Amino acid sequence: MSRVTKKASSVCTDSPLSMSEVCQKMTLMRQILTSCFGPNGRLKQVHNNVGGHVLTTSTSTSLLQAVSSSEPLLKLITASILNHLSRFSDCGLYTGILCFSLIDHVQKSGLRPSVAIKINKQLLEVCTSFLNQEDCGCKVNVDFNSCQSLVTLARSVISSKPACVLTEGEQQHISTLAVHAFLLTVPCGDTPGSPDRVRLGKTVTVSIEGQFVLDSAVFPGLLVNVPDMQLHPTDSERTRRGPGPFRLALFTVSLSGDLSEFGEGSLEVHSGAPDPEDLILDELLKLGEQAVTDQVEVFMCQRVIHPVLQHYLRRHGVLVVERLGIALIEPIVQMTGAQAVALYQTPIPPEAYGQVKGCCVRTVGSREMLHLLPPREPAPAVCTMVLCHRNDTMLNELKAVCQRAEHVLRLTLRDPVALLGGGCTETHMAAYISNKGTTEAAKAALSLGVSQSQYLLGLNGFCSSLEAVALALVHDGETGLVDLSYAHHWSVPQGEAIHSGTVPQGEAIHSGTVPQGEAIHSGTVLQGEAIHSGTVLQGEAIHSGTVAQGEAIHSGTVAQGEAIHSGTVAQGEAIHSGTVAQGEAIHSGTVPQGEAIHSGTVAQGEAIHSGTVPQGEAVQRGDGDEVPATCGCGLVERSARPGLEWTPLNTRYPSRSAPLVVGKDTPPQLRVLDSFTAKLNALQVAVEMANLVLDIRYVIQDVN
Amino acid sequence: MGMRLQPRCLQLDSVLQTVSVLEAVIRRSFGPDGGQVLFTRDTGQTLLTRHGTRILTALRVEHPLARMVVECVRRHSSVTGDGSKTFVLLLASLLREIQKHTRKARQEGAGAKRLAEALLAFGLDELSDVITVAVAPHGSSLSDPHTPGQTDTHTLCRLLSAFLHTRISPTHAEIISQLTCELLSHWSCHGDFINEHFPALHTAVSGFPIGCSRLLEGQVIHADFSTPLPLRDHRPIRALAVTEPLEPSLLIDGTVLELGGANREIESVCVRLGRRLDSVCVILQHLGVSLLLSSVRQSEAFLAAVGRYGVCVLECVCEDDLTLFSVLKDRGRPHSLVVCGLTEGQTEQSVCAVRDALHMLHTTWGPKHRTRATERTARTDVMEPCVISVGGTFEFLLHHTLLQRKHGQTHSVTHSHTHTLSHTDMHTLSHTDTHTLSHTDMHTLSHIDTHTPSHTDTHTQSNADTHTLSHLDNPAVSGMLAEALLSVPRQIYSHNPRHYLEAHAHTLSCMRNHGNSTDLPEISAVLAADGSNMVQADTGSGSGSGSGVKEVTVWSSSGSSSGVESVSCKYQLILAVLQCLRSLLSVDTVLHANTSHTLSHACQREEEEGD
Repeated sequence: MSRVTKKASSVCTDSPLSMSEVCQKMTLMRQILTSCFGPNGRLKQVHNNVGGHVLTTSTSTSLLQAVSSSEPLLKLITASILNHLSRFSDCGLYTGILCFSLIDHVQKSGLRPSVAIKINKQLLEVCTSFLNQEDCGCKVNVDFNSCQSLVTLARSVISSKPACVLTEGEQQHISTLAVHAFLLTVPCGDTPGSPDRVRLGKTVTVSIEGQFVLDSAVFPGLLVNVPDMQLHPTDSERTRRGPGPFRLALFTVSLSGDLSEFGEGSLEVHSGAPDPEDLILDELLKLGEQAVTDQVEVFMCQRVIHPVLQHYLRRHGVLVVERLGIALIEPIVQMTGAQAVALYQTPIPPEAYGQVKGCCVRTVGSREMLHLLPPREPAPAVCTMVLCHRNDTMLNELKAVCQRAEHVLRLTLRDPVALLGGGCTETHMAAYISNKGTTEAAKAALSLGVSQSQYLLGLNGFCSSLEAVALALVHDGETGLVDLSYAHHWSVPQGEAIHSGTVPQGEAIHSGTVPQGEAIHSGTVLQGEAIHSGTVLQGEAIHSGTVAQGEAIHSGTVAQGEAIHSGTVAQGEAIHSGTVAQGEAIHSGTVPQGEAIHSGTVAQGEAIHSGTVPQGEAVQRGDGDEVPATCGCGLVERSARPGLEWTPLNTRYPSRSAPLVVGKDTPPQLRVLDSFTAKLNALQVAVEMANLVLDIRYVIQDVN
Repeated sequence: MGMRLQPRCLQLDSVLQTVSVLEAVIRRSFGPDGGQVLFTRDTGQTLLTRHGTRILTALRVEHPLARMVVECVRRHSSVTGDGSKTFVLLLASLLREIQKHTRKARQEGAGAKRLAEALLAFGLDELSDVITVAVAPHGSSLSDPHTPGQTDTHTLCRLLSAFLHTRISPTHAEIISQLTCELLSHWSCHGDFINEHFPALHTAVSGFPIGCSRLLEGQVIHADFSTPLPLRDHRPIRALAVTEPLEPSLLIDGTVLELGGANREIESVCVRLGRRLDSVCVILQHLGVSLLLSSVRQSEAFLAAVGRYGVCVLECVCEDDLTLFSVLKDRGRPHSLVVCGLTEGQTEQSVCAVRDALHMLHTTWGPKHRTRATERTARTDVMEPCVISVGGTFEFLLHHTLLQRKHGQTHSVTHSHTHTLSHTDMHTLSHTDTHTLSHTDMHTLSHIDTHTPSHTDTHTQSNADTHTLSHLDNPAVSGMLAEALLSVPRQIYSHNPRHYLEAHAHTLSCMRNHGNSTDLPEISAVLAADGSNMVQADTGSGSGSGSGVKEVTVWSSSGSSSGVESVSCKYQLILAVLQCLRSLLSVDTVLHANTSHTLSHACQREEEEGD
């Protein structure tokens, strides 16, 4: 009798995004993801409450699989990121950071979710069509005539996983190996039988602990793990014998001679009848005989081979390998052209034999392995990658990373383009959208059925979220800058920027007296300052203040009320940054600002008293030596383009011109490239997921 | 065993309170501004929904009355596939009306029950005719006006799109409804066929944005290749479906193989086994089969053997796929739907929505596609498959007609409009001119109707007395129903009350114009969600065009053409609500039995009593 248990009622949460507990958890998750992002990302150690294995990683797949949240909203986001990763293997952290950032910005802007969703969706369409444009400024073609861009692409994947603990030289070595392996698995010419489709080969990874990373290597063909005792002296002799090709037979059925294969029933043996096991052994030996007469030289079996049969074959000079395991069967079939035989009762059909060009014993680390060489020269695309690293944890990470790199490289076969890395795609795209959205705001707002001020608020949130991803690459106290011509991302090391600042604060205030635009400009300067002084919260407040303010100016008097409404405190801070200009705004708006002004006073005082010149201002003059020689991706070189101006990331200009596209006639060495396909999907997943989360009004949790 | 009973008398207030709790939950995802509900299963699965029934069942409510309501909603939505959220709204607002009325009349308990019975009687006897006369002419037919018998594709798409907008996020409803329309058009007039084979006709893929969803030509078999082989040429492929292992195990459980004697040795058995496999392969080759669809797992030896003969094998193909595959062979080119989503929860939501949409279409098509058995309960046979614009048009029209009727029955045309508090100023309709017309119509109709035999089995025993009741309380009853109906559009425009008034006024003016004009324009009360680009629907009052149905295309804020909803679904919904209401109010006491064994029985008994 089944136990009758009472089902408990579900636990319900109304508008989960307004719950502080949920928000805290989301912020925590966002911080975790952000701090892992990029080549300078911080590692995370994950261990569960019952002890056991400690996982050290910064990759999204391992991290998200290991960290499970009880919060349904987070579960949903995690699941969607993992689903994306299972398809594209890249840009998991990117998806997460963008998604959380979008949600955050919408919440701060005070837009109604349904309005924000519409705007985000429209902007996503602008983004995807921009990225799909032929002349898109953040796209480069992958040139298959040289492996340079492929290696860059692989290195970007590998270098962004700091848990592998690789030096620069090691990164280069592994990237080259990854590209080598990838190229080996692309078949030359048409696949026989189906001229219109290409079947990619396989890379089998063998990992060896305790060796130097630089010992890692790629071999064409397969390395088969053979226990020492199996490599009989005769076998070693065989492996040394002259060039092949050798004939190979492959079995998937067990050749152990057990009777268990017959099923569940019972056997009844009459007295005097021969022992069935003997009969089966006879059968097996007959098979061996056929193999010898058919001049098979390599005899392999997925499972166990009867010792008598093994002995018989060896005596006739056949190389015998048993217990291959199921994982190796498909690569062997693919490489040798053999057909796996699943029945020993009938003779081996002649077309089931495959070929290898030769075999030899290779010592890889502490292990001796049998190396099967591919039979023909246009190799049928199977290779082995031997990865070495000092310890188990790093090795596992390295293995996962190489698999991702392979996947990313394979994606280029479908879309032979890549995106600029190092945050440049995000800043460039943000500048493009910001410009396009601002100029076409009226039209877009009308078609979406939202007011123009709402549209601009949404637009600013979206662009800030994109820039937040670029900003997440910065971990060591550097300052993220964006240049005003090409809108690429530059990061300035800590400390230097402050030294160069010489212009007094007075000037910033001065600039505030002239037109509206300038006032906002000084607001952005202050923000750079705030971020630098490390008050993250304040920086954020000011930043959202500038957004609201910019918005108010753009949309004119009607929008003013709305802007004030959407961020009262933030507004107050914005007011202080540009005193004169803001006064104007206050006059035009009818809502009293007393409270906002009060709350803003402290922040303002601090900014002015600190007296240090915001490095944003200094940097903008374009003479700072502290700006690195190239931008994040390496496409824009400072020396080649004099007169560049910079501004700290995540600041708003009243009117920013469309970013220029860097001419690609003499492309400099690109440092970082990202997968186009993966990032395009990641962008869509992030925006859709943010929209989905914003749309959730109610959570019902079954607690049974 | 000592069973302690805790009788608790059910007041109308407590019933209303219970239903209001459910209503509060449902409201979150109702209407154009409604959002998603995220729910987790006891398995830990995270799913999304905007489907009323799913939300209510996920709550796992304990209160017996609430459970009864949930059960009623579930039953209704399993029949029509539509209207589960409106069900709860309508039920709650009817209860409020009854409460108002009983307070006024200073009657308790019995009064409420009597009213509920009168409402049900009214719904069963007269509502259908009221709708046919007053609402249906304002809608448009689902059949193509030019070629009768064919479904009008454009209207169909609007119907689907409106339905899906209530079920999935508006940004995704567009693409899914477009695909569903295409799917339906590819399977021209086989709506039922798609409905039946939907499990095999769709594929859910997670990890891609929903925009990647598409329609694929052909059938998708949901299984992986066990032995993949490249197709050598472009000849048509011959496929064979098998449901049994082709190489039976040598020794099945319980059998005994005797060894010894001539031809009884294991050797020969093995050889025979090998030969048998070969002969199967030869037969396959002879038949020219190059694809084998197997519903069960085949042995490794078999896979290897057929692999040598160039036959691809798919194992563990699910039953639905095989059924469709075998039905398809004599049909045209099949198409199947690929639904993408970020997570399983999202794809499942879309798939559910499409499935219910097909179900809803099935209900809308109504009599033509319906078997005789179900006609008895819901008298849709009198209605054509008719659709009407979304946004409360149906409710406004019915509301108004019922009010007219109320006045007609009491013969008090000058009666003050206490019931239309919120829109007295918009009430520009003159009652005198329409009244004469509708009153006579209704009167004759209701007269005929009251003499028809009972329509539902649940209603049989109480028919005689409610029959008389309905005549007594008719004005009050139609007034209550009319008021209650308004709760639906009120909720639709809840974020902007101004739009509610505009929509109401608009519908009324359309209705008045309709009385003057000869052709039947379609009335639309759809307003843009924010009103910034509100487009007034062309009522066709001045420029009456020649065509029977004037297409009114209103571009709503999301850029889609205005949706329509099925009148017969609405009718069935009201009936179901009225039935649920009656059962709710006929329960007077909940007995909490304090033993674990009788707990479930007690609940059941209550529900039975309720029904």
